[in-house]
Amino acid sequence: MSLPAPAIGAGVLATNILHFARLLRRAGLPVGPADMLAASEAATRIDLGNRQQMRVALRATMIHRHEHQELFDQAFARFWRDPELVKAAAAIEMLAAGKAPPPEKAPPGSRRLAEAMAKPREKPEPPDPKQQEIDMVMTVSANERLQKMDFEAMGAEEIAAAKAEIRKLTLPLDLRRTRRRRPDPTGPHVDLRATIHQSLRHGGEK
Amino acid sequence: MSLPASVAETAALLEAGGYVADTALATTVHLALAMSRPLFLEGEPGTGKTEIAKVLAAGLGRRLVRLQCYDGLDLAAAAYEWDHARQLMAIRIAEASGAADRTALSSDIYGRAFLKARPLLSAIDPDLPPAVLLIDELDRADEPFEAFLLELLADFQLTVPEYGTIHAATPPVVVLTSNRTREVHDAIRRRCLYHWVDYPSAARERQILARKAPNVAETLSRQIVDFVQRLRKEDLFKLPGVAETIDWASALTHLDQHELTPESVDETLGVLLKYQDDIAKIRGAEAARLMASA
Ligand SMILES: Nc1ncnc2c1ncn2[C@@H]1O[C@H](COP(=O)(O)OP(=O)(O)OP(=O)(O)O)[C@@H](O)[C@H]1O
Ligand SMILES: [Mg+2]
Repeated sequence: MSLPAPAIGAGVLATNILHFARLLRRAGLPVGPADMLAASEAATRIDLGNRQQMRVALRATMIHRHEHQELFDQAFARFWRDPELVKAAAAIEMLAAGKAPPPEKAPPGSRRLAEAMAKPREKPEPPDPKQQEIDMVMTVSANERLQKMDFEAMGAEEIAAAKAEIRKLTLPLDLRRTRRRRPDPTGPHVDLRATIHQSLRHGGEK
Repeated sequence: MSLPASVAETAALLEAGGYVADTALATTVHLALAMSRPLFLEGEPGTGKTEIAKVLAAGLGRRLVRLQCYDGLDLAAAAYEWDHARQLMAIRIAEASGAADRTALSSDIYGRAFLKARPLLSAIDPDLPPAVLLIDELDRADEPFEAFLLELLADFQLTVPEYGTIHAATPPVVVLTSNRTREVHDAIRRRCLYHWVDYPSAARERQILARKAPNVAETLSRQIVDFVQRLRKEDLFKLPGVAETIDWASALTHLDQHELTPESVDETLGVLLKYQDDIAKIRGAEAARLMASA
């Protein structure tokens, strides 16, 4: 199955979806590469500035069971905390594609957000330093505990514990203050497939 | 007819078909159409899962092809069957007329004309207009059937060993539903966009009533919905779905009731609850309590 070239959202947004998928997997949800591709495609077919549509688009593609829904919604609320970030992602994409974003998609703070969210110019060779940073800021214990969790086998108490862990995690978007490299908003588009494959190679997650 | 271009257009299409969808459902339906992915709807009985497929077919101007699943559903009933009687006839005729070319004959009798299409084949038949395929209550079919469905859901094609592979000219819009009497396999789930159909909120249920039972008075509608919503919090064998709410409203209106009274509730409870134990539990004091806690 070939993925039609997504118009908007192939870069920053795709990267965020990738990180979000990692978060879901840490929480024990079985999100696979095909789900990420579907989620990325879905994101190009909705109004990116509409948080509710965004949540549903990711949910419909990344989870496949009712039992996973609550955990998903919690993770979504944490990860996509600021709807402006999502709007900014769309704006960045449009800028990168050489189009001027509509004014309402580029609020005054968007430059800061743009810098915060733009993916650093990609280095061809792994290990991807960004992924390492993310893993470093996660508290090690929470990270390990969540990675060992098998959601299917969890009881109500364990699920509650998992949710608590999710709340404690320092998430990728929080990295904007710690990242030192200069982001380049006009940098090359991220090839989602390549990024996913790369992340699979050394992420060791499914 | 072309597919709706946005979530808003999808919502309008559902609305025009008398379907009251929340944003989440409209968004998921839009994505299923836009991405050519099957839509997998799970949820409580009577919450409008089957209805979605009907409304989509009507709204898109497509034919509705429905496969109702049941225990023991097999390929012959779900996909296709060779018309053995006609095949036999063709053989007899060929033999009688002395045409003894066996290989030509066998390729003849495994031709399209001898293939009887059941819902799954019909839905992807390139010679027929585009379809909405409803695979209803998949949880009732047995598991081996799901394995067979995979090819169809992945590529909208179906392979008949004696004949070849049949591709849809236009991918069908596919809606699968389940009441979760059994867990549908992950392989199927992963190919679909997933949506859990919950009971509607009170406001939405009133809207549904206004669409489906327009003769019901405003006050009665509000009381009915409040009562049903509270009933759904009770520990019952089978909770009332939207279908029951609509039936109950119609029944009460038919009996010239303009407001809920303990008497009218007791008399008509059988429309709302399907099990004697449930009726016995709610009738009388409990019903009165539910009405009072408004
Ligand atoms: N959101 C809605 N808008 C309009 N009508 C609705 C809605 N939800 C349910 N209904 C009505 O409720 C009735 C039951 O719906 P339907 O048969 O689709 O439920 P279902 O989920 O398929 O139930 P089951 O699981 O028992 O098969 C139908 O008459 C339908 O018109
Ligand atoms: Mg049904």
